Amino acid sequence: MKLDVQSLSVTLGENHILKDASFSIDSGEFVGIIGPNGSGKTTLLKTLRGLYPISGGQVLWDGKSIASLSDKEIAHHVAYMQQSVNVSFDYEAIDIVMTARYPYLKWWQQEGPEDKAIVEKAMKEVGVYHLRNRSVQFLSGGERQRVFLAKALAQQTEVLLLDEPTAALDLVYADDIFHEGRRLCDEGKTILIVVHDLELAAKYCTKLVLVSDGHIVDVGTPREVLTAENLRNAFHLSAAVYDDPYFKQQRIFVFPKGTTDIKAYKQTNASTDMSIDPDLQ
Amino acid sequence: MSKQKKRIMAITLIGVLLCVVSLLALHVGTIMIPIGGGIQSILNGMGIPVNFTEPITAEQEAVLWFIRMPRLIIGLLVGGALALAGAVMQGVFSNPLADPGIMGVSAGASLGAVIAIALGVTSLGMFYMPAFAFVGAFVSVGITILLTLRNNKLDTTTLLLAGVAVSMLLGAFTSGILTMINEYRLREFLFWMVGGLDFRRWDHVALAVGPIVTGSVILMLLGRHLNVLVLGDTEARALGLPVMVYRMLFLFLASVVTATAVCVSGSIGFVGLVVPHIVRLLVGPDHRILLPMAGVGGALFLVFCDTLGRIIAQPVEIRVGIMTALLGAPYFLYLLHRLRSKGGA
Repeated sequence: MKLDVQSLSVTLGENHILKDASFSIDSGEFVGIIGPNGSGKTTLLKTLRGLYPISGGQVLWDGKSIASLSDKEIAHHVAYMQQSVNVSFDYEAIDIVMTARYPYLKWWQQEGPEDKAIVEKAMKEVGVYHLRNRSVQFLSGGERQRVFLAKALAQQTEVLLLDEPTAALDLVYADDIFHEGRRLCDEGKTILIVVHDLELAAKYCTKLVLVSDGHIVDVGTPREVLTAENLRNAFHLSAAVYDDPYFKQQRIFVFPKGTTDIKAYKQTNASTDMSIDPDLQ
Repeated sequence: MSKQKKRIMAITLIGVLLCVVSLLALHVGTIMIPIGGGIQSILNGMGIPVNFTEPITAEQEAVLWFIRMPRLIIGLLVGGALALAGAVMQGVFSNPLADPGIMGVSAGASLGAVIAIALGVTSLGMFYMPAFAFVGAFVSVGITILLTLRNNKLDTTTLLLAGVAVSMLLGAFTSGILTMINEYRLREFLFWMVGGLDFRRWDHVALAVGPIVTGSVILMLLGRHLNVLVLGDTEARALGLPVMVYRMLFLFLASVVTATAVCVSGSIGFVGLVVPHIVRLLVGPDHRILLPMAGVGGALFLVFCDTLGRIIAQPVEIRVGIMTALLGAPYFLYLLHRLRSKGGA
């Protein structure tokens, strides 16, 4: 699905969280939403799902304003995965994934064999089918997040909104989730993911949206967005962005606070296309 | 699948126990009624003519039909209602320590009852006290909800705290009235506070059966929605569940069912708190199975407590409200201990 965000503003209570944000996303993209803590990333994602009221501008999914759609209608097209869900009772993993079928059932209906097949497929796809009868309360962080990812998939939507699914995960699981996300996008899904690890975002995402203090600082490919200048504007830090010589991946080096002279860091064989904070050059 | 097996075993066990305890409840007492003869009398009464054993005497017949049967049925209804409502409240609040009175139902009903007693209307007819209690329960729930409702949203934490505050406020009124009324009326209230099933007649059954059965059946049918609501507002809305509508519906129906139970039997604690836990351990947290089984389990637990209370200290009868607390409180403490050693709910 194509997403258009037009001068979107969101106010929660007294706080203006998002201010005049505009960007658009094509179908099939794997979009990383990056930015410092408290910049409005989660609010943006939740607003795209229609969970927060819009105070200005609009969010259009395939040209339709989200404000005109019901929660159930949106749930047919967009799945939303929270940072973490507090499961109070001893539900089995498969019970949790099964709730994804909720939007497709009338209030009196129960899940049928078709729903069970979809759930089984989703759980196998992310490799948690063997955990199906385990209690969610006793799964590790990584297993748990993958169960909720399976749930998002079992909702069978074109769009997935993932709010920091890798926040509590170690290196391997985090890479796994992103790898999985990229694969799903190549198969035609559109994913927006909130992420803190910029290098991970650069490695897998096709597009990045950089948010700072409720404003969209930049939108584009990782190479376009991840520049020393943008990082200074958004994160207020001095950094150097470069390609590592072995894997041609974007790397970010953050200069320690208060660095004024970077000669000590500069190597003679430094790549010429390195982007360094202009204030330090 | 072993989990499935365990579940079927648990359901069979609870079902068999319910039958056994029910028969026992009809059988024991100052006047013993032979089980075979009792069953025969009941079947004949339902229009199934059977004659497999000696018929029971006219006196036994009268005790069976006008004392034991209504008492048993009230016990089944009230126990089932309280446990089912407890399971629903625990689900709605996503909190395993919630109980059916959490919205102020019990406190409101008590205030209603004490007003009825203070005004002296209880001697005019048996329906006055339940009516006053019912009104009290609903005024209390209404205040709790109105205090919580903001921007068309019902936050469960606020609701929980509002329920506690309203209960305390109404409790103060109740105590205030109690300090001013006559001693014999005080005694009447005491009997109401410590819930009991004695002297329950078919009139009480007729009063309770409609609201409890209707409310319970609807709640059981909505179990799947409660499974989603338990995961929290965001999760439920993201799946397209109308959170506000269902939360209100669950709270309303659970309150109706609880209020009705409290009205006909007085205030009986611990059933709604403890039974859902035991049943959850046995059949799992899926509300589609949990809700009906909590109902059956609650009926079993209450009738068991009532029967035990009738026989352990004969000829004195220990009221069922005391028995449930005697058996329920130790289990509740064990539960708290277990939660703490596990590091929270």
